[in-house]
Amino acid sequence: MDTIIDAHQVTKTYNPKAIPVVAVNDVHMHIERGEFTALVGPSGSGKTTLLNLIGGLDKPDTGSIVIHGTDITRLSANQLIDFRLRNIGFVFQAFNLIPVLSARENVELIMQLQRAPKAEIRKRAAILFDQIGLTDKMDTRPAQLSGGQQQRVAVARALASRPQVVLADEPTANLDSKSASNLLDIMSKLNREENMTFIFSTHDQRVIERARRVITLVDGKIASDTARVDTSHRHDVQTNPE
Amino acid sequence: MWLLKLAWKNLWRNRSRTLVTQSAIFFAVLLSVTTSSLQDGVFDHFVRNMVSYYSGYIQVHRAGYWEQQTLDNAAVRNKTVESVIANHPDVNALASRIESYALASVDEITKGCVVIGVEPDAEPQITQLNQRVASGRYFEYNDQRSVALLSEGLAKRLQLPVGDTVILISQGYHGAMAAGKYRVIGLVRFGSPELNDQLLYLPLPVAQTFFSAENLVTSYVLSLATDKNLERTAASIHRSIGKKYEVMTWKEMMPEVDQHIQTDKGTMYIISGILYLLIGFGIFGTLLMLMAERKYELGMLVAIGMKKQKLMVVLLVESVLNVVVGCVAGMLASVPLVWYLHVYPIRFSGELAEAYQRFGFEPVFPASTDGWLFIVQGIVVLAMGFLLSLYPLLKVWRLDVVTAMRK
Amino acid sequence: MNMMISMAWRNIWRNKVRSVVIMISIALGLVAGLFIMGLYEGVLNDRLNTVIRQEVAHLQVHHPRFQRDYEAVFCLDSASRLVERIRSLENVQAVSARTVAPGMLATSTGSAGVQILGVVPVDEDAVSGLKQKLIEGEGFKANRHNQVVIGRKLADKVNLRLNSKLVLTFTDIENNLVSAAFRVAGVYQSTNAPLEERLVYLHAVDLNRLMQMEDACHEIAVLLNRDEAMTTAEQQLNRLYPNLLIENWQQLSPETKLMIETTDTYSIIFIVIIMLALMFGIINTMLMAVLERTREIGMLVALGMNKLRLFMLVLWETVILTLTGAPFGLLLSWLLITHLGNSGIDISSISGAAMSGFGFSSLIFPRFPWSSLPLVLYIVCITALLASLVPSFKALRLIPVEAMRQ
Repeated sequence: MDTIIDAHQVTKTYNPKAIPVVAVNDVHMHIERGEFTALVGPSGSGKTTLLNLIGGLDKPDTGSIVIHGTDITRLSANQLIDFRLRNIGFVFQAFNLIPVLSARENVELIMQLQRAPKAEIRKRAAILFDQIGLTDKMDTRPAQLSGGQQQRVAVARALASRPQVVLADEPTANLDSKSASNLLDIMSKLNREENMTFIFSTHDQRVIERARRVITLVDGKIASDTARVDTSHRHDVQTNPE
Repeated sequence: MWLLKLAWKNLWRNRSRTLVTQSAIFFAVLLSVTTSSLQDGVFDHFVRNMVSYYSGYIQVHRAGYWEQQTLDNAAVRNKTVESVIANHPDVNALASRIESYALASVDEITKGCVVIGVEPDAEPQITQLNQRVASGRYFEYNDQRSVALLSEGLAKRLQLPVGDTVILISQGYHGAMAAGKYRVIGLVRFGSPELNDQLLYLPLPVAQTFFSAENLVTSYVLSLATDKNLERTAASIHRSIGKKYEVMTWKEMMPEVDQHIQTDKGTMYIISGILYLLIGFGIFGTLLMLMAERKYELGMLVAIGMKKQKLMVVLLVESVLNVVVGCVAGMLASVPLVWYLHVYPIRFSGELAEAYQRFGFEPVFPASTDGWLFIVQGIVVLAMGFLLSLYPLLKVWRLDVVTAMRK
Repeated sequence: MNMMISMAWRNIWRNKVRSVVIMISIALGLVAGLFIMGLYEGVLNDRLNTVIRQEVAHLQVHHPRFQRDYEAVFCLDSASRLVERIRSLENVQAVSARTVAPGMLATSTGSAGVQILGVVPVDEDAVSGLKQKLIEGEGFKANRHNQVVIGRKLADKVNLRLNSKLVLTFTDIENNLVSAAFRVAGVYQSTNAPLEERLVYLHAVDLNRLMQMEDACHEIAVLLNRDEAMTTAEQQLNRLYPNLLIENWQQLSPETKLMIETTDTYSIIFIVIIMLALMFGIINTMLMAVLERTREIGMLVALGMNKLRLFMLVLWETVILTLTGAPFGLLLSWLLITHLGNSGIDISSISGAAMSGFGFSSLIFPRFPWSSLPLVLYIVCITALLASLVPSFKALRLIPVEAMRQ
């Protein structure tokens, strides 16, 4: 199998107002291509921090994070930006899209930043919108889309650059259950069809049920890591190496 | 009290926002102080240059002399009057002069000229005459010799080198015949051809003897510390020495210069107006963005039950603090800046500088350090800041909670 | 690049009031710069017109030694032919030949040193407007001898009135002292007090006769129909009369040149200050715009937008604002200056100073400063660009994780 994420002894301490808070504490994590992983845990357990560290938005105090063979803790700020552009897709909790760009432009932006040829950009955008079922809303501004639709566009944008991994921080937090379930359908469909690796944080039980691997964080440490058997899944499920 | 505290906390909570707002006020004060101090300084400098040429800031004559500038209207020197004038707090220096026309001749050449008898030691305090000497030497202290300083142009016209003798012929006091022989000890240079072609200086007692006008002077020339109190000083001197004398300011003696300055001052007011307009737009733009950024926060405060009036008070306190802090900081920062521009004035070069030097002017635009200036400009910006602070209040008054909280 | 520009363009319309404020600021900055230039051009034009049309004219021709020595003998011979030749040159509007004699003016009560000018009245009226300057009397009348026109200041000083008698003493061409009596036929008033006190006008016929001069004069003043033609006319005269001294108004009236250049220089200083005000306005407003968009910028960085692109995004926004504001400012300046150029600005009402009757006008007629237009445009654009650098750098310094936590 193809290793996508290999995190070792990752620790991150925040120091707001002189009282140190250990957000992520000595975490080890190993993720293979095509996994569909939920990161769960109560508020303040370090989910967002861990995702930020994996996504290269933040640097750990100690430890290494190797993404598809590159130790991102050793990259400079500029290299990190470029690395994120080519290897990581992000879906944030809310206000995901650039308000002045249409849905299609939001998706195309990433590819344009990658300097992909124009024809390819168009083609890829069309395919992605087809996959998220919003072809008719392509030229709509985000403000005119519902929350669920916005998050679907955000997922499409995350996938646009064909990253190694898509990181989604509470993507369903602001959605009603129908939209949430719809978003999960799309994510899991893309996970299968494009063999795309997904890691998403959540504390929504119904969402957790859709994941095939669940990592639970408590106080910045991994408390449990369990694989779930999904009968509809064709692939073998990797169990935790521990 | 808690409103004040909330306002104070708000200011500290978002420091970069507070800094940007305060800096808008800060730079407004800094710029308007600098502008007005430069404007004032340029005129002060110009006036100083003009009056130090010849006229002085104020002249005192026997009443009626200015209308009819003849020796017969000269005043008898009066020690009491002189000490009253010299002791006036605004007067820096006092020099006596006797002035009339004469024909100057050398061999076959005869030219008309203006003869000015000056006190060798007092005159330079007003007109820097000693610094205008281009060749030869200046008078000696208390000079009683029959010596003359010629303006360069006049010397050229008379083809007269330093060391030669010039013969002066004129009509003296009460029609007396005046004639004398004077050795030229130096040439003085004036940038203005008017003066350069006709002035001839003698030591005061020598000139008085020449004009048979012993102990007479046509004018007392005064220099002041500043042009600011010109009219007031002239009036108070006039009151203390009485109606037998006329006291004239440079504005009365050189109305055309005053006219030019008035015109220029008018244009300066227009420039200041434009500056205030731009400053106002700058501050308004900042406040506008400030309110756009805080819309959500304010909407939330109203939503959780804060009265709009209270919120307006909080915002007002914030604005007042911002404006006052920015203003005070701007005034404080402008002191060293203006001081610097005063001590190291903007110096210009090129053709203009050469022209200035030909006229004997220093080619600089100095800044004025008048204390009032800081206060006036500070208050103008303060008022502008307060006025513009009404915008956030208006915005809160019109605030709709639902739209405000929809991000 | 396309995407950047279109994003910048759409960002501008996110907060219309903000963008309009910046655009108006830029437009105002441009209006300010052009207006100051226009104002000064109006003031200077007025002064220049006074100096050229009432005092020295565009060019003067002298014997090379005359102005240094003021000797009557250094005159221009065959004056009438010379004048006719100069009059026939291109761009020449009027020519006045003057006989010049420094001398003394004496009355029963006083005396004064004066500069005596012998002129042909019609020509002098055309060159320096002598007739228009008269405030008393009708000036020279035909068939009368020994008439003199003196300045109001001189008249006050030596107590002369219309039809008073006075004696002028001067030297003739052979250096003999000549005295003659004249009667005041007119009193003139000018804006130049020192000249008003010194210049007295005689009829050239009278003065030439007394000075033993035939067809000769000392000074030929040349008024052109356009200021711009001066250099060409000067060169032409220099070619035609290499032995004569040709001087332009700048050499003849160095004070005026000094004043004009002083004004030019300090108008630039104030433009710079105004531009600084404009700059701070733009910086602050754009900084606030960046602060407002902190989260969004953080997201763009998270998604992989690099610093150069982010920098360009904010820069483009300012550039577009400038490009939109500038034409508006140009139009506004043109309208404003043209309007005020016709109606005039009453300076006395602004400065509160009473403009007394010295022949001065308190009205300023600004002129659109076409010649300084590129300079002002350049300064405004540079200012706007410099101003955009600060918020652009501020955007760069945002840390994505912190920006997005907001």
